[in-house]
Amino acid sequence: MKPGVLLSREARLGYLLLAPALLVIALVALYPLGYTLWLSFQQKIIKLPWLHQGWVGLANYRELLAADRFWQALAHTVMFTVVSVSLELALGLLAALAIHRTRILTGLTRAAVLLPWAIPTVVAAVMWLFLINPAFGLIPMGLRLLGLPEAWQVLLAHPASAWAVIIATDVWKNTPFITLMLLAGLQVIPEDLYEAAGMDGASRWQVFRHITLPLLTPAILVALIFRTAQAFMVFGHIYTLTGGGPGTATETLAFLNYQAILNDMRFGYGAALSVVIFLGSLAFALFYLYTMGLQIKEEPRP
Amino acid sequence: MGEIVITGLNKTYPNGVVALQDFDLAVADGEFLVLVGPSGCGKSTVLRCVAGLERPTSGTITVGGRVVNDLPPQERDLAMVFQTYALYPHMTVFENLAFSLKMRRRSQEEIRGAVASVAEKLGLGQHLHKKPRELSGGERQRVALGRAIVRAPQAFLMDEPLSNLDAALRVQMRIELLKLQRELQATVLYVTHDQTEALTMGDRVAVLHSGRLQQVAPPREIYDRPANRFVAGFIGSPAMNFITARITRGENGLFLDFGGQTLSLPTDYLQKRPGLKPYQQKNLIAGLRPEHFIPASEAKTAAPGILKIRVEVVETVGPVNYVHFSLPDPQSGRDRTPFVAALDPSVPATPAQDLEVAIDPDRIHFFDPETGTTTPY
Amino acid sequence: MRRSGVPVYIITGLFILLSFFPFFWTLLSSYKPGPQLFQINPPFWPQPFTWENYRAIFLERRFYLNIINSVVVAGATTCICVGLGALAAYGLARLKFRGKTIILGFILVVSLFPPVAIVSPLFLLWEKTRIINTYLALILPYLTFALPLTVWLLTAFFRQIPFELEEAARMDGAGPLRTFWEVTLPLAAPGIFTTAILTFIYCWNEFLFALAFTTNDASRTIPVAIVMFSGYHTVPWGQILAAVTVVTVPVAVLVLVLQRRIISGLTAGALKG
Ligand SMILES: Nc1ncnc2c1ncn2[C@@H]1O[C@H](COP(=O)(O)OP(=O)(O)OP(=O)(O)O)[C@@H](O)[C@H]1O
Ligand SMILES: [Mg+2]
Repeated sequence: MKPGVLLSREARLGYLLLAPALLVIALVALYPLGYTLWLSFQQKIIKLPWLHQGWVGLANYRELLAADRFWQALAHTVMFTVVSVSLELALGLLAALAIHRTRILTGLTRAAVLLPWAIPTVVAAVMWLFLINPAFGLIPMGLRLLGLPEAWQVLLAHPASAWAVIIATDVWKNTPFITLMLLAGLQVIPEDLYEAAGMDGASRWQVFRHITLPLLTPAILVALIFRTAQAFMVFGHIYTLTGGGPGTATETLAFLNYQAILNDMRFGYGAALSVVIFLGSLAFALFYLYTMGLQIKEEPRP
Repeated sequence: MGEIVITGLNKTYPNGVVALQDFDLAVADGEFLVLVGPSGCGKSTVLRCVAGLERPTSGTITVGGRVVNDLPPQERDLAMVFQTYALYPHMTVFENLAFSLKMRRRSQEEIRGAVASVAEKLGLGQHLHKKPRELSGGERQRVALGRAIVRAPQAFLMDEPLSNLDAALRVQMRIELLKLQRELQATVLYVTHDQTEALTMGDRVAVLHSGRLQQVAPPREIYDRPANRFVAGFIGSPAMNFITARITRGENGLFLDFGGQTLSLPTDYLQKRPGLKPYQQKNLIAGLRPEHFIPASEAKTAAPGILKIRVEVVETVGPVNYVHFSLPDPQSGRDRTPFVAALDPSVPATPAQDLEVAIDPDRIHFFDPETGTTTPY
Repeated sequence: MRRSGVPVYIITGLFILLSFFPFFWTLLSSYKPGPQLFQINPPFWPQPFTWENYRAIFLERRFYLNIINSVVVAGATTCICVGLGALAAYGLARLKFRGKTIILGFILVVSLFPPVAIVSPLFLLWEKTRIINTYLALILPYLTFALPLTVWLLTAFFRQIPFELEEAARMDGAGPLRTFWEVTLPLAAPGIFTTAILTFIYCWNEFLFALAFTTNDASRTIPVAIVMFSGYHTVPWGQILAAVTVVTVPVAVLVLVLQRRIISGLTAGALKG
């Protein structure tokens, strides 16, 4: 008798099956990431080849942390994330409750939920760019009818209204995703719970507060985490809608990073910024893992 | 058909759960052996070790004289019927039945013949083209059975195959399953947690508790001579009543004291049951089956075995009434021990009524209070 | 108890309207001749109705090249991911071995890391190896987000298949490979299909890598090409809208036909993951 032979054979097969995927991930993700880390200690500016190129220690980080533009981009990113995700959650919850209540989750509703999600972010941004065009866009036209001063009708010319456009585009594109997640969450709440609560004399608000919301919490959490992670890396809207402007008023971290690398061709400095962004996301991802810990624990095999 | 011999089987799961300890069992060729025990006692583990779906920590398993320990499931030539049937949802009934033959590369003709004969035997003829989800629970159960018998394996392993059926269908399938087994002279290791199923179906019954085998014997013997207090309590419904008792020798004969009552025993009682001699004047556990109580008026001898009770609850279940009462039992750690007596509905019994019931002293079981084993007969 | 009031219908209606309206307006506008497009207070219906913008993007801008690029890159990435992902997910869902939780956690962390973090080394590497503007330059970085996604989704789908069915197949005489082929794979097919659709859509929509690692019109994917339509001085709105319509209509059809599958994929990955 060799106890554990099966186990080790099974384990070996398991590692064998996982090996290709893990290897690929290591190659395409971890290796470049390590490279980024190494680059972040280098001076590497393609446009200025006569400058010293090579090891500069923490110089890139020092420069980064001293740059107002970095702190400003960080503040913008956090602001954008908090505002757009909260709006999406609030609107998504409202829409999910309404659709669930009307029970007209027909093909039409489902398509309405899925279509904005399924198209590329920048395609959505381009459509909105058309809608807000100061000369012939529908939205400025509406604003004119509402009597808004002429100066404000060039929406992308003012930081506040430019942000409003960016956030509106994001909310339009991503609220459906949250609605979908929450609808799925609502559908698994057994109907008899509502009936029981009704029998117990709970008001609509009490039912929502004490039954719907607690049971919906896992779905809300998942949607929130996914969206937060995505919003934190926002790039496409900014690039397409404002290009970071007016001035630097709508620059986010990812946008700033892209500019540093592909506009200024400062690969070392850009890498340092990447490392900082990566560490932020890692902290978030670990927090996410901790929150989701229960879900990914292996359920015992029956 | 082959016999299954399990010796010295131990199973500890990777998470540290000890599921089986020193388990020995032999299922003879053509025997229907039922393995019964409460939930979580390790019955499925035994079956899965024999099937090869789980690797024993130690021990040897032979099927038809061949050691199968190191063989993967597909080479053991055993068929298994799962509790959930595990029918392949993407295949028709025909394909489900044919699957094992196809895996053995039998010819198309042979497969068609074998499936047709099994389908006829189980009355599945008109369902062959259907998918499992289009079948009723009973029909699915038959397909699961058919899938097992179609290739005439060495032995059958069945894990609670009837537990997903409704009560009436279960009783009917019990009989059909037995008929089929007799007809095929199949070796069957059958797992259930239902003691009625065990008693009615098994040639022999093996009782398992907490990963340890308690007793293996024909149903009658399991019922009449349970090896210990666990088997006595598990087999029989409602369960046997237990109470701390003492055999005393008085001036005018032998007595059994329990629950504040004194039953006089026949004078030759200890001659008939010499195993009780060492327990005189000591505490032991008496076990009384509910169905062995009779109204005092019907007792054949006047003196022995009369209990004076106060009825607490009466349950009517048709052919009998379950009369609940309780007796004081300070040694058990509780004030009173609940009792049930199954009495004929003609015996008038209403709550709070005083009643006299009798029990034949020969039908009382005794267990050692320390070890729980039955005192020798 | 749960009577539906009028507001509920209004919210639902508004939601549907707001979701669809920009598409609808884009579609209409893409058929308008230039002057109408740039008119203050534009007319609702195109008059006259013109295909000029479509002709321009396909014949002058060779937009079909971008479509082909997107299809090839997203398709190849999806195939690689589903192939590797199915193996890995089967191991994760079915086999017992140490470190599974850690591996799943690792995969999740990778899927959450910011794409921009690997742009600078990859750009340098692609320059050095001269694979910039090739399909490979996009497929490789796409694997970083697509592979974790497929592994994650497929693990959830494999877990939904009752393990007993595979055990039954083993008892019926099938070996491990045969079991995988005859029982697991057919049962997992809908899940694999769903995973493939989602992976494809994610790759189809990718922007940052596609922008960074392509430098000429002929090698761009659809999203980048559309953004690059705008010149320094003029914005060819008619063509942009036509291109948006061209790429949105197939997506809309896909979404209409496969909506249940897509939803099951999104929720399986997130809720049960
Ligand atoms: N794969 C496993 N990993 C860890 N522990 C397990 C595993 N399978 C079973 N066990 C444990 O082993 C013990 C015996 O389980 P088993 O399934 O054999 O019980 P059973 O008698 O079949 O119960 P039931 O009547 O409920 O089916 C239980 O305590 C169970 O929790
Ligand atoms: Mg079991």
